[in-house]
Amino acid sequence: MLLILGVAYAHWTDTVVINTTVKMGEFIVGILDGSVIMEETTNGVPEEEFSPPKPWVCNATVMLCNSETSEHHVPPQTVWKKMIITIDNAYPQWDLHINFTIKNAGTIPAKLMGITFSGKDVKDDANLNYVLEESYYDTGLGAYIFKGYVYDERGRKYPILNFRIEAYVPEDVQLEPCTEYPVSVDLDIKQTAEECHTYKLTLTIDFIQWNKAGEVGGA
Amino acid sequence: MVSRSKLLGITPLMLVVMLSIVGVAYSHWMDSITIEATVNMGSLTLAFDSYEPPACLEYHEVDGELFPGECEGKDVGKCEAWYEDSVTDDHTGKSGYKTLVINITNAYPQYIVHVVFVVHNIGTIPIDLAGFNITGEKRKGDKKICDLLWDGSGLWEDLNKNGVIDTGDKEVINLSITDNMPFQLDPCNKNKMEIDFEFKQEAEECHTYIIVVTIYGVQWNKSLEV
Repeated sequence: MLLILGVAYAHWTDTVVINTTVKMGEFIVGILDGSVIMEETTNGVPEEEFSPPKPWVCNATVMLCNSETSEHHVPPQTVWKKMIITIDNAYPQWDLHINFTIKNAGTIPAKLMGITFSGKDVKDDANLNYVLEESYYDTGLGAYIFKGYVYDERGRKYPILNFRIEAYVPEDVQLEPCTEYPVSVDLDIKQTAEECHTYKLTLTIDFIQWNKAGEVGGA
Repeated sequence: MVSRSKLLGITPLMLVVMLSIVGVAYSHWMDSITIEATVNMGSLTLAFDSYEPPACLEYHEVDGELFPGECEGKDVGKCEAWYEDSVTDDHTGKSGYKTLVINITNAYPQYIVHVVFVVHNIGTIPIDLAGFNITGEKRKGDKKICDLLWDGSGLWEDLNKNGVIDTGDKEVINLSITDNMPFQLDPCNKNKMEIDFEFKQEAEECHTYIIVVTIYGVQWNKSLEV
């Protein structure tokens, strides 16, 4: 009708435009490339220092895999998501000491959310469990100390190995971007570990964006 | 007609439903590190060697020297030795025996017999042969007369049954074992050893002496503790 009548229908209009560019951060926590140092001992002494020396009896290898590289770092920072430890021909009182560094290679603070353990005695097809004997923050060291042992289906009287973990992180377990945190893990094979058995242990350490930790029950 | 405020109210709910339908998760940024450890335990198995059987060697003594065989070439005493209780190491699949049986019959004073045997580490961990223990008893038929006690070089009849060698007990058998212990026996390695018997004048006729020799092997890093 308006067109037929030739009457224009219009308003006065104007526009304001907001151009927004959001550069998202990056959330990567991993084990720092080249940070792993390993030492093997028997009764606290390296096998090669015994008389006669026996460096060949038990051996461990540590391998890092599943790398992830931060795009925000210059130069790019690579960290590893998985550490695989293989111990061959273990025996009681043989110990393994591993030092490594965890790095928040992203740009967002990360908060430790939880640690989960699973284990299996492959020969008996039975689950392994653990007892955490000590868990505290040593303010002098500036580290969390976790100490306990892993046992098999025979019960707590049959520990397979002792463990001690020292994590040099802040008490609020918040890992800041570009910051490195040393961790040490000590394993000590116990007398009640069984001959010719294979024990598989998995420790998963979960991190969450710092501002969400409270919502999901983070540490 | 749906009002503007009601529409705004149900929009987030619809969004969640739609995200669920298209399979989009509403989540946090999370990351994890995993440490996987595999511990393959070794094995410790000390056995008598299945390849070389034990051997009995008879001797007689003349002017402080040993000569092979019995005196005057006779065949009076008899010694037999064999292994029993076979064992196979789960880890290596190697076999051996856990028991050495020595059967000496028709023995007499100054009858000397040496039994040679081989111990074998069929496991994967070095073994310290830390020592041995010798026990025994004297029997007449099926009846136990007394225990035998070892003083490091000979076996004594514990006649007063007090568990220690003292006045009134008598030494009946000289018994020694090649004693280079403690020594380490690495996996796959063998060591030849020997037990020597010499029957003394005090040994009684028609009696039976049962002797048990236990050789102790411990994991190489624990020898000092035992």
